[in-house]
Amino acid sequence: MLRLTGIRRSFRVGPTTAEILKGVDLEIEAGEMVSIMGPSGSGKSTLMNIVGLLDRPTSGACLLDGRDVSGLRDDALSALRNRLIGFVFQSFHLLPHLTALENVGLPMVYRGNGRPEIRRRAQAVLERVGMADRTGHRPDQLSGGQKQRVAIARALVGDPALLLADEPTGALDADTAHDVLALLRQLNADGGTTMLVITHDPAVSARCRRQTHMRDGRLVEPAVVPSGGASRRSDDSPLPAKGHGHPRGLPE
Amino acid sequence: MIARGRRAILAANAREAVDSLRKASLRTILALVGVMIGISSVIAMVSVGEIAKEQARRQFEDLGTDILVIRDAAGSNASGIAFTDAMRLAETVPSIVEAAPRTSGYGAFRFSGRPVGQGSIQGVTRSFASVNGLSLREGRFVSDLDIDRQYCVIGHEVAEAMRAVRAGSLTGEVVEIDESLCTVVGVLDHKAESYALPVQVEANPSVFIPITTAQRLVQNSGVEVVVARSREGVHHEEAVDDVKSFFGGVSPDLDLDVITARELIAQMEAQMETFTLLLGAVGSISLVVGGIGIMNIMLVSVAERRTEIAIRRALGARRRDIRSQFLIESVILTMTGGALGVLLGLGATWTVCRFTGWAFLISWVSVASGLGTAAAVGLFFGLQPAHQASRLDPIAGLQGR
Repeated sequence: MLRLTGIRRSFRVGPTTAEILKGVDLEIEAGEMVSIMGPSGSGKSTLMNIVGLLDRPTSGACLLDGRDVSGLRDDALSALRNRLIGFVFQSFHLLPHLTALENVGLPMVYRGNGRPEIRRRAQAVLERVGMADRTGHRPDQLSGGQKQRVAIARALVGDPALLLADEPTGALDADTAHDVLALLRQLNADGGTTMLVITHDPAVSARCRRQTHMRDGRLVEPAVVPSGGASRRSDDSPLPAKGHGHPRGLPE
Repeated sequence: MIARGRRAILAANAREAVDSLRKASLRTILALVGVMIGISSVIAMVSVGEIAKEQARRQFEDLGTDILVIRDAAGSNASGIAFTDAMRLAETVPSIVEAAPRTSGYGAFRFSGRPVGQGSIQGVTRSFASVNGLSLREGRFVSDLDIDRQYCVIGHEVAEAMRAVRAGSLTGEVVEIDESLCTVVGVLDHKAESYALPVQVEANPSVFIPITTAQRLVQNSGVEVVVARSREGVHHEEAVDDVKSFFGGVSPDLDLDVITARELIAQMEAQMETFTLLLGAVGSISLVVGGIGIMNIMLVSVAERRTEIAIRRALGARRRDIRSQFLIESVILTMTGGALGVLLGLGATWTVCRFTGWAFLISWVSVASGLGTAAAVGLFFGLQPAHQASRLDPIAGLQGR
């Protein structure tokens, strides 16, 4: 599903270069729910940007859904992002002037779908996250937890291969955070959506089925896998079998 | 399939642009006003130009473009044009078909002892009616056989005043013109005065009498002006030369002033061109200023919406999707300004027509060119902001940097 090998990323800072990622290897199977935990500055956001096709590694290979994405042009990356990646951000990043339904439908707009199709799919996925009665609300009429549910619906609407959640509970109070994580776990368990959760919070990380740690530009995986289905079989989830296996999201 | 998808993205962009325009800030509206003024002056320029041309064409169509107006350059009071010379003009000069001399005085008119107005007393010949396009409501015009006779043809306003005194046919009635009694032989139709013409006839408040009678009755009755018509197919400059050489032969001291209708048309067209250029310059300047205003608004909008752009990019918008979104926004903005400008321009044109008495007509060419220009301004000045938006780094935008 996702295979990173020897990912390095360095940035120019004035006359010197700072290496943020120093050779990251990671493999995620379809249907997994993996966390990357680490303190700020450890490079986890940089890694997320690379996995999310927003950034390119300085060196190393990134295989997403069986496709080598290094060396793709910007348009091709945008198209892949649209089809393969669903983003959930800490600060929700909903467009304030659009309704929940319109926000959720946005990825489908860039896929070139027609309006009735977009509305139908957005409505369906809002129902899945329990927001069916808030479709006409704008973000400022929603609570933090509701906003994040809408954001999750937006990430799911295009049936992505990988849902990337960057501190998904970072802006929420403890109870709401718990609910949102429960929702993510349920979507992973029932819908088989592959998830990569990035967090600095051990409590959040602990609720993912497999945990990794980011430290000083390298990824370390604890030898002991806690119980809770980290070794989930990928064949008990219906989605990868019917959707993720064949090549899709080809650039136009 | 792909084309359909692209169209769907463009349609969604357009819907959002219209939506955001509805919630436009004051600043956006001000930028819009710039474009509006620019477009409205373009519209007014083209429309007024077309209407004026149409107006001139109609006026000269009435009279023909073969009219020559002959005057003594020294002035009408000391006119050196002899009546007999003027009368011989048409028969002597082959390029002239008709020549209508006129003397002109001023006086009061009375009918049945009541005043019925005052106006000019014009001494004319038979040709005067045809050369100036006068038409009769009843009776006949002054004839060449009316030499020295106390006959008159009355203008529309005078006739109206006389009918107010006594209703019925006016031919055969006797009207008192500056204490001389004249028999009405004809009544003129109402004549619309057109100031673009070479001679002001002012037929409505006037009384026309045979020129020979006028020389007897009215003081200062030298030939004020000769209105002549050139033969068909003769170039107007040739006719002017012929007229000048004729008068040069009979009265060598005379300084003759000959104006032709064609010269007047040329003068008018030159004036129109200056007018058009002036408005065009104003229009272009305000369009450029308006365009810069739009560009400024779009740049501000791009800066304010960096996060939105980054979100859209993260969700799969390609650079060209972002570019088209902002281009569509700026075009819709300028097209809205353009549409308002078209209305304003047509309003201005209508006002001009009202004050000049011209017939108002909507020039669809100008409407189309106005909207086209607005779209072009939107595209041109929207290009740089849209390009800038498409090049924004999504990572920076998502982090709020």
